[in-house]
Amino acid sequence: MAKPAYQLLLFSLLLMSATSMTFGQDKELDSLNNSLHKFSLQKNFEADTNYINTLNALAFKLAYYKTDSAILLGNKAAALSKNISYPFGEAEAYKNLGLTYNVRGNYDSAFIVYKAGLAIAEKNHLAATAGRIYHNTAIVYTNLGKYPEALENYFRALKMREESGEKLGQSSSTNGIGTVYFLEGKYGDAVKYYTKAMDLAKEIDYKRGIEAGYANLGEVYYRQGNYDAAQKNLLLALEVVKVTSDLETLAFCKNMLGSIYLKQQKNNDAIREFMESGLVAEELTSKEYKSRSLIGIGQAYLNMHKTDSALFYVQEGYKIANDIKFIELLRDGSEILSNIYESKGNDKQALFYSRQFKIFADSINNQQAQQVTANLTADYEYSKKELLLKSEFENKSTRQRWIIFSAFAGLFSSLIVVWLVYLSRQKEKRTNHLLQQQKTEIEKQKTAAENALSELKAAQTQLIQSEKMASLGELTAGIAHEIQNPLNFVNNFSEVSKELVAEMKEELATGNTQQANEIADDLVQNLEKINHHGQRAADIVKGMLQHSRSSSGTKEPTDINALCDEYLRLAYHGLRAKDKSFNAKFETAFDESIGKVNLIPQEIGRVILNLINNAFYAVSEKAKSLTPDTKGYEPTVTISTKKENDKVLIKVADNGSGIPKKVLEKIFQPFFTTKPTGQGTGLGLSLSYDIIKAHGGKIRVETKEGEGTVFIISLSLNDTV
Amino acid sequence: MKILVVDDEQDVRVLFEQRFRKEMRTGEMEFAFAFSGEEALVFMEQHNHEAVLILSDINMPGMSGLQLLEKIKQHYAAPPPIVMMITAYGDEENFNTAKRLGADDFLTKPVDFISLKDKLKSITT
Repeated sequence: MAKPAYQLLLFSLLLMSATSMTFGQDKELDSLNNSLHKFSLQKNFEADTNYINTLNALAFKLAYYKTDSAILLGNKAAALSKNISYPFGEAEAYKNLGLTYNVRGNYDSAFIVYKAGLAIAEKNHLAATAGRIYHNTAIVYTNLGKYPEALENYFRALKMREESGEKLGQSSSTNGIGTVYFLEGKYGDAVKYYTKAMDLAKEIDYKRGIEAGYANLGEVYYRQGNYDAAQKNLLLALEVVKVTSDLETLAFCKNMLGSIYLKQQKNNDAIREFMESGLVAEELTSKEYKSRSLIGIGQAYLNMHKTDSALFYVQEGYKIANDIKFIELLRDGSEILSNIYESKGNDKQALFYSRQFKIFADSINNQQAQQVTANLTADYEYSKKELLLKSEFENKSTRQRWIIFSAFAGLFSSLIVVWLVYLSRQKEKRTNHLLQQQKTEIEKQKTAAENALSELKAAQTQLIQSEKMASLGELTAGIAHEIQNPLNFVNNFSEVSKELVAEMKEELATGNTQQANEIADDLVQNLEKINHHGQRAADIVKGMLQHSRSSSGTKEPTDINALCDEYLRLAYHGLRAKDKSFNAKFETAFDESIGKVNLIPQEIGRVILNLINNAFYAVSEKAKSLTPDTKGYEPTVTISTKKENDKVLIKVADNGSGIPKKVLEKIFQPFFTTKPTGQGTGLGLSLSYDIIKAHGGKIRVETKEGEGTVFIISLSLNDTV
Repeated sequence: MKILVVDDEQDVRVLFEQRFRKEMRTGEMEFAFAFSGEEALVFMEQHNHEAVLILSDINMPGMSGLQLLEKIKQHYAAPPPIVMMITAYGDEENFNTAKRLGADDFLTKPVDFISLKDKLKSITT
């Protein structure tokens, strides 16, 4: 989670502590400029220490935002001081120049002028100035991550300030020592020095020192996981902020509190604190704090599983972090974004941000590794220097050799440590790279498999539809024939009835009522025939519509015998229409006691049609393969129904060639067909099997090679109506 | 003259009886009915040479009209009865097969009874 980079805040706090950068400053600058102008009207003003002091004061004011002017003024003050041998002016001028170079990030120049200033200050026992310079030097070393040097300078500054009795300075330097320990991860020492700095600030009621002390302690306790203590100190810091109105500390404390509440799963509290810190950040125009706050709010919403809100806030925060290239925030933001997308099921984005997270985390780890290496080297240099210094006061010769030996031993062991750190980082990198590769590969294969699956599903749907259409196509010819016949009867019987009416009129005219009555009887019979055949045609159309309907129908009480008969005729005529040479005998043996069975007629009809088609195909294949010797073969298909206890059996038998054993076990598999390519979909029996299963029934097959095959459907009669 | 009508549709009989009621009453035409090819052959066997004209459907279960035609033209050579084929599918293949097997005429459903009556009268007179 977000780790506030307090050190930055702290430095600016400390640097600013001597002066307040408010609107009052403009007035101060004006008055300084005015007095400079007044001095310039006097004689020999450049030899006036007051003039030099004013130059230094102005240079200090301008050090933060007009560095060119500050450098010009500092150099002038240093030169004039030298002319009149005014060490205080000269040392202060160097101190201000160092500060300006530090602001510019020009650390080498800063060290040179600080060194020059220190030499003059120490020679002339200017403890206060020396203290300030040591303190400022320590800040530069801290910025560079050279903690041992930073500590050394802070301690020297502290000693100087104790000599001069400056409490405020002592508090600042003690705070600085605490910060260095904090950065080194020595939290115990950090707490000790932060507390000491705060006590000193309290002695002189230095509000900004007190506020910084509480805020710093809050951060240390947060890092130690002591959230209660952290919260207590941050709230105390906020009490002081009420007096100082220091917005930066306010934003910092609110942000820290938000982070604490996140850790404690008090998500609503966290959102409130982050919101407030975000508002303050807005006022401060601090992009870092704004980004921190937004990301914090996003994490809180993610904890509450409000992924849309979480996404909104984290994206905003991430955008800002990207604007200011704040790696740590980019790392945290991408981690949370990855989690959000994962819980939203957006694997692609989740993967993208988890990769981003890895990149940012690596970059931070590398920085830290470099820091560790630098610190180890610095530690070694420092201890070597310390030992050499000590040896100056002690017996040299053998002892010195021992020192040099141990120094090299130290260097050697440091190098080993550095090497080990390097090796483990390399290994980790390789492993991570490998893992990343594997993850990408798995991800790729997963996508491919998913695509293949959805394509297969689409193909399957299409195949089922085409199987339906194929069987409909087989039916169409049969249906045309079946419909043609009743229509012919309807037409013929109506035509002949017209003639009969004319005849009847003639008979009635001649008074032959007996003949007229006979004709009337015929007319009634004809009308019945017309009605019967019209009904027949209507039934066929209905059946056709039911068959082609893609939605599965509903179960209804159905006369199984009629259903079998209907589909037998349809199948027969369909095959005859397709293949003129086809012929076979068909027989029916229906058990009239069955009554009605509850089933989906078009579905069971499709099964019966399929079995009959297969049977006709089998017998016609056998008929084609016959030699003249095996004459007398009569291709026959028999469909029979039978009631057996609580079951009804439908048997479709043929006297074809039977099914070979090795084929038998595959016949219900989808896409298995013995027909030539393009003639069968291989789905007929598979679909039949599914349909019967869905009806809670069974379908089995009995076959003898060379003698024929019987398919037996058994349906439960429990549903019988 | 005796005419044998072969069709698996039972109502064909009723229809013909009404359509040719006058001709039947005057004895001008005499009709017999068979409901399958097999049945037609049995009738031919039992009533040798009685039927001079056979009207047969092509699409029937079991023996088709074309098989029946082939058998009649083979077994009843002298004098061969006139065979007219009727089919619901007025396609070329059936027509050609029927012609090759010696069919005398080829009719498609729905049967135009007026022209059929004319044809039958021209043959019988």
